[in-house]
Amino acid sequence: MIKNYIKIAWRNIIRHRSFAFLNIAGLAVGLAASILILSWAQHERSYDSFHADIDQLYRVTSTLDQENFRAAVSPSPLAPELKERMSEVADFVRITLPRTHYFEYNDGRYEEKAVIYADTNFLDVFTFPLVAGNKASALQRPDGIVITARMARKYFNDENPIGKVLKIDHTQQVTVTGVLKDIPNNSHLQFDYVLPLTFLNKDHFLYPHDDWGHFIYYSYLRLQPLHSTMNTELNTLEQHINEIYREHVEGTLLKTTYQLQPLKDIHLHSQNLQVELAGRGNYQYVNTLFFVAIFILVVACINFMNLATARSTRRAKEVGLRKVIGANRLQLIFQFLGEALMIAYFSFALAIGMVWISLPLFNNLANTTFGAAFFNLTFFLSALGIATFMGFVAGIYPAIYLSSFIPIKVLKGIFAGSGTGNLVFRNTLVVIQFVVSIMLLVGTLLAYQQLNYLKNRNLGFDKSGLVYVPMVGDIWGQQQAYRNALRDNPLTANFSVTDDVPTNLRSGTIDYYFDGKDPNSSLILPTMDVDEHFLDVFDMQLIAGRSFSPQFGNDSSNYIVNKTLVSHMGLSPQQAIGKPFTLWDKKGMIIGVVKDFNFKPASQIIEPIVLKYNDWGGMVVIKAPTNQLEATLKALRKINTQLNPNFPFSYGFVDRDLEELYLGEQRLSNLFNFFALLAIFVSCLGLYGLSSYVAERRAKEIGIRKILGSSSFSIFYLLSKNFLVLVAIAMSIALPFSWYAGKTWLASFAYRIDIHWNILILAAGIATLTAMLTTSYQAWKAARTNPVDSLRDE
Amino acid sequence: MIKITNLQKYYRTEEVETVALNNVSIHVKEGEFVAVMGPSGCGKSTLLNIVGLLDDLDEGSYLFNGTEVAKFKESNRSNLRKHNIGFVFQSFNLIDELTVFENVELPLVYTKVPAAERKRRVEEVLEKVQIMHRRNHFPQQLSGGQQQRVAVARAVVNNPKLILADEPTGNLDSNNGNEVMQLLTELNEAGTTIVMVTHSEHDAKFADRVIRMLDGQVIMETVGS
Repeated sequence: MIKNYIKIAWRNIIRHRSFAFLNIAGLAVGLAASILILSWAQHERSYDSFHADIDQLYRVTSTLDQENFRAAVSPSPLAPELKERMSEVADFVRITLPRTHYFEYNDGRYEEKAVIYADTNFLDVFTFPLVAGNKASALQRPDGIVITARMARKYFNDENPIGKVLKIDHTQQVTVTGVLKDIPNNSHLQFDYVLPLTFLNKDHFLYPHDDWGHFIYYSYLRLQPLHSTMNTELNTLEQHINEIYREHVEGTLLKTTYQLQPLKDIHLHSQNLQVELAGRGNYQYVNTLFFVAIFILVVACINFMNLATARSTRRAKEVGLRKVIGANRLQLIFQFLGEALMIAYFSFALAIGMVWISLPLFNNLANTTFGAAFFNLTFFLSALGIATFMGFVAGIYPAIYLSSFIPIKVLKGIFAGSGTGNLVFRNTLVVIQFVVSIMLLVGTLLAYQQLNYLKNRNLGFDKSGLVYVPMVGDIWGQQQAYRNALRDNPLTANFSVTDDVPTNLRSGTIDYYFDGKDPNSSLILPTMDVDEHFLDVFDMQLIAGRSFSPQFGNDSSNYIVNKTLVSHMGLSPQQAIGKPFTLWDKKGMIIGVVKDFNFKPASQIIEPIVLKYNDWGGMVVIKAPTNQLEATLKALRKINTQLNPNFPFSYGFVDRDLEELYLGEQRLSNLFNFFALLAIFVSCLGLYGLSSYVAERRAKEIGIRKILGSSSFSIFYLLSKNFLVLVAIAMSIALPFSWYAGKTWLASFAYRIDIHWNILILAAGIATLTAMLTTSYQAWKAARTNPVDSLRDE
Repeated sequence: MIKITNLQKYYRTEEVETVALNNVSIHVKEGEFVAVMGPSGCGKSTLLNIVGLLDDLDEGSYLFNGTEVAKFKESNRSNLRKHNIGFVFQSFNLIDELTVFENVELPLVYTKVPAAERKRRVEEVLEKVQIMHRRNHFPQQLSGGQQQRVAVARAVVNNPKLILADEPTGNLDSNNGNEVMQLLTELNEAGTTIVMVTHSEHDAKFADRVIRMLDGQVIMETVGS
């Protein structure tokens, strides 16, 4: 019996190849797409799960001024104090932001950007296994460094790295005491070097001083196993933490509160956190893409159901006959379900091939590194599971429907397939497909526009041609010579000395005062240290007062503020000039007001900022003359290597850094676009199949109409009309929904586009055009057929 | 074998109710060859479908081998059908995707006959209808007469007590038609009861008895030549 079913299914596939191809290809594309998305989502959700104590690990995050400012960092004495005072805290470890250092070994000299400093028990709290060295002692000696296997190969090739001495920043030495297995992709901490905090000098700003107002560390706690996963227990702990903190601070710092963020939530749930480590994901994107995957599967299943029921007339005779001969309904349901499963398994095989081929493209789009290990047993089993589920879902309705035929009717040629119930069902499915497609289309267009808007929004300064070079090594000692050298070359003469570039500022203080300041306010005020050329180099607009200038003597206690800060002070720009302002106990006055400019990702609203005079250095930002970027870089390299021969020349571009801020968004937007287009493609595949079926079924009608004098065009119109009506219905459902969904999505951006009606029209237009193109080929073919051919068949 | 008494059958659409069969009573004895004749639309096919348990009756009684089957559920009917009744249709109704052998084998598959036994019986019956040499062909590769011989083979492979034939020669030329009639006669002589609906006076002559119908009623019964 089973053999008979397989035989029939196989011969049906072979006999109706093109139809079977549509079915198999549609399901395969759907499967492949969902496999990729689900794997990606799985990867995103798997972050940090490799830590042995994952359920006990938490990061302490801070909130200032209620919910307005949340940060991933906390002050240095907090974690040790919590361990001391709270029995629930089993252990803690503090980590700094990744730092840049220059390492040398023999002839090898490299700039390394992934160096972190950590407490000595770093390797106890986290599960980063060592391939060489001793976990307990590796970070005990102050000059001991733990490096990854990748870096060990880079510096020492095949030599045993343990005990090797690396020169750091050309002045100090560190000894390799441990080699780590390379850090997994799905770790929120990405680093290549770990140094103990004890390596730092006492005067270094990162040294763990007893300063409760300085938020510079990522603090992680390992809690004793919690009695329950209920939030109440965590809330109690958080309250206790806040009480302990308040014993140590006064004033506005009292407004800071702390939260415990589970380690496993860090990757996907840190959107609102400032001073966060780079590379965080976003659970909303994971959910959105997850839904897109489900949509694609649903669309592929709908295709299958649609084509299978549409083709029911062809199978009707067989059903009738089998029933006459003695088949019962259950046997027929099994038969058709079996066929659907067979198609699904063919699709599965094809989908595996598609995934294999598209993996490099996907890796590129999603910035993942899925490789051969991707195709493991779990993968095959879950893909097979999805395929089986799909086959079942897609096959069950056609199976029930086909098996319901009454033999005497179908054998006489009266097809239940022409009944209105079935037609309504099929049309409903087509409408659903189009609703989904149009919504995805609107989503794609909106995401594209919004991202473009963010990228091209007027930042308040001109980002083009800005090169920055951090001051390192010997430059510090010869700043005047450096400035002179830059000034002497027309290519580099237009420069400014700052402490940072305004792409994603991380600084901020609450230690400032102006007349009339609300004593309860704990507004965080970002700061930047800039020199007298800053406004010119960045082409920023001064709206009142003046810039810093050596002509006015000592500007070191004068300040330039932005328009937002002036508004916050309740003044007009002109009124603000000359008003006293105190920053870090340094009393001075406001000498200028600058037009608002972005210094954080453009998705965030512009905050107040204060610019103070830079008399110490940091980095130089050079505005390269138009079209002379290459020459400028060459000149910079020359100046730097002359003055600073022991350090490699490193530089960055402001516009590229800004691009990178949107890399994550850009990537997800690309992924979304790609899969949205796939969903639409699969819909079209189904529509094409359906239109060919309709043309075939109405061949006789078309023949008669043509004999009675109908033109080819009116036949074409007749066949296309129905599909267009369906598209119109879909539009009237999809457009209001998309409008609403788009509005909700955009609301999360501080600066956003309006949903213009032309986007909706465009999406609707594309959908209609696609539907027309898809169906018109078959309609055109049918309209051109010689009526004698179609009537002779009868 | 078949005893139908006072059968009423209506067809209803949304607005009208038509009487398809009105007060029909027929009696077919085991081993008989009965032809049912009448103009198009007289209800003869409907009658055949009811006899074959493919359609149900609205009123009246139907005794099949002494059992009242008028109120049988579909599962019981299907069971009765597959063990006792073979069907031959005007348009052959072979499954296009199956070969000659597989088409004939199908009823045995549904009655769960073991594979070896199936092979034996299918070959035996294919020999009988002289189509053995075409056993691996698909229906489209055969002539109409050959297709109908396959259909007859399929109808008898389960050794049914009753064969119902609905205009079995309607789509055939006279030579092929005669061959099929010959085949049915042989089966009847071997003991199978046959009820055949036909338009053809020529075919009706092969039957023991002819029931003539008009407008849903039996109007005359004649004993054949």
